[in-house]
Amino acid sequence: MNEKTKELALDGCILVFAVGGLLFVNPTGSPIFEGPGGLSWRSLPLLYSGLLLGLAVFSIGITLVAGREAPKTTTPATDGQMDEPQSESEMLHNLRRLGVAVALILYSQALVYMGFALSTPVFLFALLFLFGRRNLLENLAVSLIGGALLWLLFAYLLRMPLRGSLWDPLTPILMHTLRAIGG
Amino acid sequence: MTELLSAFVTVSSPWHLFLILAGTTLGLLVGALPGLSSPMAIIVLLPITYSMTPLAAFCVIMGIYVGTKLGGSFASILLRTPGTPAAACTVLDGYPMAQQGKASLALGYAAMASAIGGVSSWIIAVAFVPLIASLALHSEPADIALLALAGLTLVATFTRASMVRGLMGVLIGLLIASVGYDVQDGIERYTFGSPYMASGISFAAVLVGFFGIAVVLADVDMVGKGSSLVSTKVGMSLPGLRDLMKRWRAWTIGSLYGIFIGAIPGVGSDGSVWMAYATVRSQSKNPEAFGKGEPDGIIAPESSNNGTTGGTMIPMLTLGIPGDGSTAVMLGAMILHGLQPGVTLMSSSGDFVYGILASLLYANIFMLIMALLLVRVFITLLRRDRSSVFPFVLVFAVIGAFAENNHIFPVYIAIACGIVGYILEKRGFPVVTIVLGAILGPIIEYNVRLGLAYSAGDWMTFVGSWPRAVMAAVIVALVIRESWLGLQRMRQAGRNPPNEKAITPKEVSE
Repeated sequence: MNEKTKELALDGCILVFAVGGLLFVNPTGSPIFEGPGGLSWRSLPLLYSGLLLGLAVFSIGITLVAGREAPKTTTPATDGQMDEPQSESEMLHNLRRLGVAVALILYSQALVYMGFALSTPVFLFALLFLFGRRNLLENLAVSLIGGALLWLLFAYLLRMPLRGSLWDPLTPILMHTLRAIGG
Repeated sequence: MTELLSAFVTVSSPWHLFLILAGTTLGLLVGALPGLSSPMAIIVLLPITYSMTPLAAFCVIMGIYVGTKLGGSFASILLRTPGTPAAACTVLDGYPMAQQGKASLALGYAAMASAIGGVSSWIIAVAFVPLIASLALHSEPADIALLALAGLTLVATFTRASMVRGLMGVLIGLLIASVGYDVQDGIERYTFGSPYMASGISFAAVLVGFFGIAVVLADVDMVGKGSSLVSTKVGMSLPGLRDLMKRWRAWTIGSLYGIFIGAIPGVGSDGSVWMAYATVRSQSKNPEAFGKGEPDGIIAPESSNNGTTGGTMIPMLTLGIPGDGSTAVMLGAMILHGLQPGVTLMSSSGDFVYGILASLLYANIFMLIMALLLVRVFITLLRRDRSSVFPFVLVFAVIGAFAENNHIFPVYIAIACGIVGYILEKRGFPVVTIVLGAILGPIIEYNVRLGLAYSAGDWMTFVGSWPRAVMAAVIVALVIRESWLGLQRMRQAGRNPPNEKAITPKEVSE
């Protein structure tokens, strides 16, 4: 995909977002009350959506007619590491990004059903592996110790309700252990 | 003055001093590691601060904010990789100086210049915050709405992308802020019948998504790469007083640029450092020395970088308008801690405002001390890759989104914002404008509607007094100016197709 197509795709998404803003401001069809100033609950959201729609159309027009205008400033490429040629590693990075997104979704689900104590070390271990750390024993140690410290901080010290709703055998054990040692 | 002294007494308690010290140390570390940033560090620590008082939370936050400014220069000088975008300019003379075997002195210049810039800007902030806050207190709803709009326009104008993109970001943010029950009529907007959306989209989720998860996704390509330093046997040697006085022009210009440009929403330190560098270089008797290890080339951007810490506080604390990404996150943190940022902040929470100012001075002093003491630790950490840091950042991000309401729904929002933020950031879209729109959206809507209600629906109320007319004129002038410049750039781009290759520091200096 070339730059122009990518720009058009981005502007197209923003255009769809703006149209969504116009159409779905209130799906329940509530009555419209104009307040003392003449504005109702939907006036400003509709104005924002309309302006966004106009800008998206304008931006698509610019891209189609003249190409995207150049950014005003440039970010210096200062890293020696950036001198490396673009290579197949880009594909690996994108796969890692996808992996991070999937892991985050699974982790948030696991957090609800299995609780923080059980799901966090698994999440940390998976991400350490995903980020290319292949020493499994070290990864295990880092995720277990890190997970335990984070649990102590959030669940015990800050008293956040991080217990799982479906199957969380670990949290009661940890709480019981802490009480037993006088915590 | 009494309020400031009283704030100093409060902030001088061991607990608050410890928090500032911890924040500053963490800030230095975060700044030194390319890929980690000040907004991200503040976001990551938000869940820990929920159980603290607002002032204690901001002691940590101010420490992080100030510490990252100097930390960024470590990597610039030793790695030729700026730890933060604002430290990019320091590469130009810092790295050549390190190559000449004077890395310790280069770090010393950076630390001293940062401290001078930070303390100078603190003095200005202390002088101007009460003054502007007392003037702002007399403002009416129409003034507040216009101020917020002017702030958003300024941010959209001065972002690194085009103004069209900046305005799009602001409007997307305003639409995000519209989700949930309308504050005046109690009608649902964009909720799609979901009870989780009824109270609006959580600030924490938006902040964590755009400044936490998106940044990790963007920096995944840094994972697995260790860094090779120009020299491993480095300490920090501070320049002598005489040497420093000899270079008064560099740190004065740098600090002034930092203070005044930092106070303009949207420009921030990323812009001020380059302007300070260019000015000092053009005024130098020996401009050809710049780019080859000239100390003034480190002093000017570094004093300017930390000079913005006081500058950005002025609009943030008096008008509720953030100057950059970090202050946008700070405004979000204030809301999450139950404070109402804006023109009434000083009158409703004066102790808190002065407490922030007192912690800002402490943070600047601690920054210098901790940099001197721990420079070798930071350098050791600089050489490690980020593969063991990012998983923990993501756990903190998830908990940060979860902890606002102790519910999992904001986590899904944060993940969505993170993915969208990464894609937008990759296309050069100024994501910070979305966050600012989301923060200022409720303030704008409430005050526009109230202003119109007071004037019986007369829109002319927004130009009804000379300050409002000036603000409206500024907004219109900015839009016209940027549209004109955009057209010029387009014409130029039509004649000379843009070179996609990034500019190297050498090219910038030339």
